[in-house]
Amino acid sequence: MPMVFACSVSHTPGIRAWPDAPDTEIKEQLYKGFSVLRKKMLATEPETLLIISSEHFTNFFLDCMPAFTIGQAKEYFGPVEPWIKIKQGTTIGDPSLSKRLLDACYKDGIELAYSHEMKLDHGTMIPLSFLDPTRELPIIPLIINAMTYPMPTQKRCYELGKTLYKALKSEKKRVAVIAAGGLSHAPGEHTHGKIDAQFDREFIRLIVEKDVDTFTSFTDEELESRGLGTHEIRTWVTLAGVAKDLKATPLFYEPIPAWATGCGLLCYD
Amino acid sequence: MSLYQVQKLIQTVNRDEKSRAKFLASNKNFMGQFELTLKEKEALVKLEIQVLYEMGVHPLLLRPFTIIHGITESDYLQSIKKKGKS
Repeated sequence: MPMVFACSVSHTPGIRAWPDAPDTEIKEQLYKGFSVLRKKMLATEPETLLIISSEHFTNFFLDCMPAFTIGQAKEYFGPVEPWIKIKQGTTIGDPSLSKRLLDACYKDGIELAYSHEMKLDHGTMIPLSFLDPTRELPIIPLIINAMTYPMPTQKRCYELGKTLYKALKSEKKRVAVIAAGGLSHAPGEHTHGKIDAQFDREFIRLIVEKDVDTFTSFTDEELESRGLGTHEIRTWVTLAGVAKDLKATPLFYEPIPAWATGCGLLCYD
Repeated sequence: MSLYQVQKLIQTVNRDEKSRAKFLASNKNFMGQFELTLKEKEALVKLEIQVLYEMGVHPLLLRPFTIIHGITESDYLQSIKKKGKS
């Protein structure tokens, strides 16, 4: 059974930590968009969620910083942030599927790092709090280094996506794949609050139109100029590879200054 | 000076509840396990945000560290934008 559902979402902490900060109408539109995604996802009856998110120094430090890491734990604790206003707790994992995906990646020439002990942060918990708030479904986190140089290239991320596509195609389990991160933001930097809505909308258009050459060609400098957090579009690029045969439909995009992030939701059908 | 050790301490406090509790209870005792200069220890104890930012602490480490200490976004941004940074 190939992937049954896919979506790309933003995961900025403010979505749950400071829900009353932005314009109410815009926030409600975002929340409604998440609700639509949850409904669509549940209709496909997924058995496991593969969540592609970005590292935030939650699981790794400079003593060892992998490009890609897949979780193989039986369960995961999260969120690690006590201030995120999501109840801390454990979510069950799917180590057997994770191993199959890991083995498939190695056979296809992509050597992911793997970890039997990982924690979850806002990057996975923000989307989970909407898509599976009671945490009933097993999850597999796949974390991308999108914060310290060097980072995997956009092209490499897309290649990983295509490898996962092949792995999931022969998989018997019903798997939903969620990419979380971005879009333009500069968290904690002196340019914090800077959002490049034009870039974000253009990036979404490129994903929808499957202009792979262009959306995999942004340089590190081009992304960093829009805020370090913009490097997180690597998660969306990865999912674009997994969902390469599917049509992408934008559900929401708005620059949300109160959360200092360009926030987007995209669904694949 | 070791930015690595400063960042290592901050990462430990940010991600681990028990470490966070120990640090907040007695930051001087907690810092003993890291190789820090007096200036670095002072910056961490006094939460000298501008000093830590200019030292090069990664924003994804520094901002959560300040949130744990109850620092608002506006106060944080004001601190890091001092001395000509815009």
